[in-house]
Amino acid sequence: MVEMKNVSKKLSSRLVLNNINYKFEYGRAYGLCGPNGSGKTMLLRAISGLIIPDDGEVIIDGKVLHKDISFPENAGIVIENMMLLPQYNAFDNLKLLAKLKKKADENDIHNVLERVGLKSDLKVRKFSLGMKQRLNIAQAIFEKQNIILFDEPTNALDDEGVNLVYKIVKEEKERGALVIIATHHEEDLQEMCDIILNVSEGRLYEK
Amino acid sequence: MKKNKLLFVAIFLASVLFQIMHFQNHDNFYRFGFAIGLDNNAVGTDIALNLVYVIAPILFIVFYSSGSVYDMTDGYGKLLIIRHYSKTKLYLKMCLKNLIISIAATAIQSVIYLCYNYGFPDVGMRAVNSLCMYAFILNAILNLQGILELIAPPHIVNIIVFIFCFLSYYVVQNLPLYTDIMWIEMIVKVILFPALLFGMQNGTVHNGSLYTIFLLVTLVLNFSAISIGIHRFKKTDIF
Repeated sequence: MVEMKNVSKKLSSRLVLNNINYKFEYGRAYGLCGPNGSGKTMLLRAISGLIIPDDGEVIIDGKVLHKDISFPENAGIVIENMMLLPQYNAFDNLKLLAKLKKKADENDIHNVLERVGLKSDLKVRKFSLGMKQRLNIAQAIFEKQNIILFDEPTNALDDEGVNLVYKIVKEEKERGALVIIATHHEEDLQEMCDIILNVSEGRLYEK
Repeated sequence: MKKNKLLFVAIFLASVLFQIMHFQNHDNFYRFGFAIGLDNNAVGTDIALNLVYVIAPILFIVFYSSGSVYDMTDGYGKLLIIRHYSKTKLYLKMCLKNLIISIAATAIQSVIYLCYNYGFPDVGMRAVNSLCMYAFILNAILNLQGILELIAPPHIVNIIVFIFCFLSYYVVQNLPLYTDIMWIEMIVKVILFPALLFGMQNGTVHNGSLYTIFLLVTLVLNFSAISIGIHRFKKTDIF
């Protein structure tokens, strides 16, 4: 379980997360809905450990982030500016990342590339925006992460790609992973999520 | 971080060209003039004209190495960090890269000098000292750039660092320093440490003991910059 307790974060005197309290459970998909700048992405960053809250705690499986652990044990994230290495193809990019935690082998990489519909041998620098987004999704799930954080996962994707994302979210949820998706496309969230939460001015509201 | 390739090539060619022009037009008394700087007696236009050949390579190196911290905090680095790659290790790798860049930049400029010297000169201890100091101070400038990139965007840092280098050299070269109050001279030079790139300012040419002191100061500067950078990077939000 991922628990947020009184989490607040200020950036340049603006409160981007304002006293967030919520419990996210494994095996479910949560949607964060709200306009640009409402704090959806910051909330994902706080859960992933990329930003350090000014107040409050993020507790992951009983361990306090930035106290007991620096980052979640096994989290995957799709967030803006992911910047995979442009000089390598999709397979080599994932292979390089796989070396860090040694949780995925070559078969896992082939499988995930098939799941996201990316069979190209092109170098990433020649990828279209949609192909880059598919690869970003692949890197977030290929190590069978148990916390999956998607920020605008359907951006730049065609209809087929959007349906693939729906399918992936469903499969990951069934595998037992916690999936949190932030987007301002409410129709996407209704298709994928069990619970939809509203984010507005750094606050979290249940719909 | 993406850099403008045309600007990148232009600065590189300009810096090489300025050095070649300098070596062709000046009968340098000192070996490896790019790391020696101007004579203390140089004035006015001498300084302005010659600043170009000593400062242009610095502009290239500063531009070349900029954005490394940005790549860690806003680019590929976050994919590594989220997979528990140590922030300290990531920062130290960047510092090692800076050191290699500094040594390579010194070596390339030495090669240009040797090519235009038509043969290998009798390289004395002073020349070796000035080249070592040049590489270490370059490294300190790049490490300072790393710290600043943790608090400001890379293009702004680029401009700040370059202006700091330019002003340091210009001010130290023009400052009426009094040899009887050595410690004031030393403090000014430590504050404006990019001026220590040049043997004429760091004691290589005229004062061996001063060189040793400045070499130690340079090492302390580098270690301090790396320690502060690591400490700050650990507390930096990743976007």
